[in-house]
Amino acid sequence: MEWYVTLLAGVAILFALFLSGAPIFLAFLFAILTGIYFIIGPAGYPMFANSILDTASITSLASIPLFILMGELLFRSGTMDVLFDSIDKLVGRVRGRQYVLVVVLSAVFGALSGVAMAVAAMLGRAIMPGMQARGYDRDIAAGLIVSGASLAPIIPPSLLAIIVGSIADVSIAKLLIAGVMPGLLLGGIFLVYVFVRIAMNANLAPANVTSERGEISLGEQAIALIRILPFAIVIFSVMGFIMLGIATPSESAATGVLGALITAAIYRNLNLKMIWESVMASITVSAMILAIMVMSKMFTQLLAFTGATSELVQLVANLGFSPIVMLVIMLAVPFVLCMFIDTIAVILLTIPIYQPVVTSLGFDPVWFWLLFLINITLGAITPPFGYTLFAFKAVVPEMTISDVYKATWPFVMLFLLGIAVIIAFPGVATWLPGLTG
Amino acid sequence: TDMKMLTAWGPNHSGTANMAYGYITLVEEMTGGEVSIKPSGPEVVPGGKQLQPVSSGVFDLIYTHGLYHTGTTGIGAAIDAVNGDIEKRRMSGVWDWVDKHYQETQNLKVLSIPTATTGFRFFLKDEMDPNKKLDGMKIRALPSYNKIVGSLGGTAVVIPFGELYSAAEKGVIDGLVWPTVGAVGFKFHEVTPYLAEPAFGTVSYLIMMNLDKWNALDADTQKAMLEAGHKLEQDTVGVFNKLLEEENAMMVEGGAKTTSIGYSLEEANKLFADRAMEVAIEKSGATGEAFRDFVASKGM
Amino acid sequence: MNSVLARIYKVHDGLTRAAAVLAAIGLICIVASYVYEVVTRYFFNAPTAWVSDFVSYALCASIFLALPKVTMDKGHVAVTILVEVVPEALADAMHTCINLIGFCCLGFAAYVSLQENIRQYSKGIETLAIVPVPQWWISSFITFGLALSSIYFLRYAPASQRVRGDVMTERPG
Ligand code: NA
Ligand code: NA
Repeated sequence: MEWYVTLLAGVAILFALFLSGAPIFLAFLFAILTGIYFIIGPAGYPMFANSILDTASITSLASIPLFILMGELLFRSGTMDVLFDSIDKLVGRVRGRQYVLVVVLSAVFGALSGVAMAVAAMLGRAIMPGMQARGYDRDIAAGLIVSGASLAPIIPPSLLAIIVGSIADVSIAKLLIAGVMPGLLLGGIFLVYVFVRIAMNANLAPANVTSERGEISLGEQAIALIRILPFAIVIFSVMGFIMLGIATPSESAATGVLGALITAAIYRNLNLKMIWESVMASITVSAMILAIMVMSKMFTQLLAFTGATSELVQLVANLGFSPIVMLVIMLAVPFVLCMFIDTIAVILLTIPIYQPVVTSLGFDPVWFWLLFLINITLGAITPPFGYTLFAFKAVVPEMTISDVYKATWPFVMLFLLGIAVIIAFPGVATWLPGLTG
Repeated sequence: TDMKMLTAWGPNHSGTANMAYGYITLVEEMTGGEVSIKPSGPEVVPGGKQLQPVSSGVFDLIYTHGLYHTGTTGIGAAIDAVNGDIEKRRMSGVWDWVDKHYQETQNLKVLSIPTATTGFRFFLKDEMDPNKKLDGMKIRALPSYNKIVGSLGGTAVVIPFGELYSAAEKGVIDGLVWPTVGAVGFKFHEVTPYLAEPAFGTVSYLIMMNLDKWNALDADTQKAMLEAGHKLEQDTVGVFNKLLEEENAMMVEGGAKTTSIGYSLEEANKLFADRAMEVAIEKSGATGEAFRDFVASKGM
Repeated sequence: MNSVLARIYKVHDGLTRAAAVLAAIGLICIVASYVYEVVTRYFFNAPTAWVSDFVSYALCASIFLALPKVTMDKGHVAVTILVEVVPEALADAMHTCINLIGFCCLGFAAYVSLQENIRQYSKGIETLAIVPVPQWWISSFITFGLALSSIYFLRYAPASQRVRGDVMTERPG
């Protein structure tokens, strides 16, 4: 069979199964089991069993249930409510202030974690209920969380950046630091977009606190500030431990859980029932997310087995258009692939073939691979298929997946705008790493 | 004939690029283009799960290191404990011993045991004082070299590969041990810039073929593939010494410096070899002991 | 409903709930062991050899112990764009069809996994780790999770089991 027939057939079957309303992980499973039979034969089934075991026991994936648990604890202990209330009192005059909080929190937790899925699920759990209760627009909040979480692999620390750096043979240190400004730029674009939307339609954000409850005294503001201080424990127990070299990023997710427990205790909302419910909810949501991941990994392996994915990448790498056209096509391919297959596999399959092309086209490697990194992250939030989308959906049952798609599309466009800016002004990505020499 | 090969690492890994792809080229030359081999990496089957699909014949060939299947047999990893002289390994019968073991227990025919005599080295965050050795240092180490770390006064720390770079960067660990050649690709010199001299031990890789597929080949093809395996072993020593020079130069250019942690090479080699053999015995019991005794009886 | 069947269902549900409790305990153990590792390594310079491996084992076991509960709660993420617009009768038929496929696929996957457990057991294969354990200790959780989930797909095959309107209104857990 020609490679493009295999690729198109595989993707078409998967698409049809998704649309049938079958659970995502089941759609993958069906495609895998039939695919193995026709492509490898029954001797391939043990490979499938081993692939599940391999994916499900990757230590760094433990950060997914741990981050979700952190989010559950922050939400159920009322810590998030304290945070929301305090922000209301401190910046009550700014319409849409909680959206700023969402962007800041996603940048902060994005900086803490390298896994977009973990941050999307964590923030979805911790923030969404409070935002909706306060009358904020559900779709904007959802879009902000999903896209804000996608800053996780861009802002250091980032496992994806480390993998890209080692395979593409560029300095990991430079690639990590190169992500800082683009991450902030994207966060800024999201904020501008939100305030433009609010300016056009006042209903998207609740009215000012001050006009509702009269002027807030300086004393009340001071109390509000003191009330949010314990929240710093959560941030420190993750970020501080990483920065001080006390814990690895995975371990810091666990110390973050401990921090959330301590914070809950300070707010006097710590009880066994709350902890148990949080743990139960976290592990079931994680099982749901990781079931999809485990299955999509084998689908990816199967496509890789046929050689279809590398043929596609090879074809693109040999097109020989002008640099700017090549750049767009070379970024488009991983973007599209990430809709269907696993991010790390896209990295493994694409980079070795791209690397000589990047050199021959004379692209700055740090700039190109950072764009590549942003693109594969974007692939995970572009409908219809994306880990980050599913992880968010898993913790927000009141939204259908179509709701999530609808909420995400504008932010996908904003991401593309950000990418265009980085292409037009490479300095956004290359200035900081240039300083390090 | 078209064959499929699984490689434990991707094409950017210097071992894969030189040994696996080197073997593929040699086989094509020596069979006059009769046999062509298509490699696939860990994106098709994860590195630690590649033995089974080759044993069962889904793939024809495998390029790996014994440490990637210690869960199945410890013999492959124990080859690192054997004297690195490839001709002596063949003449003494050690090569055949390993071959027989994999044929009988894993349905695999050994074709080549390419060996990098460039070994392993310590990558450290700070310059070392040779008199203090690794006193109080936390070093990321796998079981095969945790003994060396301990004997130098350090503490062996377990960090998964995915977290290694950031753990070294932030100082969760003070250093790590890694194969000397290939480390440049993982950019460890950016975060642990002090390279300890000398390197110790040897790294022995394996190229093997599904036994049923092997038995179905005609005698000429078998002969050519074995000769290609022998040639690869001979080439590898020189190729890796050259790679070592190149990669060292690249790391030095990237800011790396050499340091000493005050061990004698003989002592380090012995600790490493002893430990590699212990791993084999832990994993394979009586078979591991038999291998150790055989190797010892041949003075290897 | 037939009383034998009802009893079987009760056992099935009970097992599923018990497994979910074990999964939750697994997650607590992951938190505790990571915190323990950080403390002993940083403050006492005495890192453990086992935490990293233990976390990976506990993660795999917990995921597949919790999977039946997710299936029981009909909590899997699905794309429902089409189902929301087709006629009810067709949606019912699709529901039954998908659930039967789910039963077959998961059942078969559990069978494949079981065969692999048996191979790992009989050949004495261990995990690739610093602290290796027999591989079937870990991989049999996969078989368990897939098998228990597959039975739910069979139980949910009747059209009356289809969740109408919104996909999922209850939070799982
Ligand atoms: Na990050
Ligand atoms: Na996508």
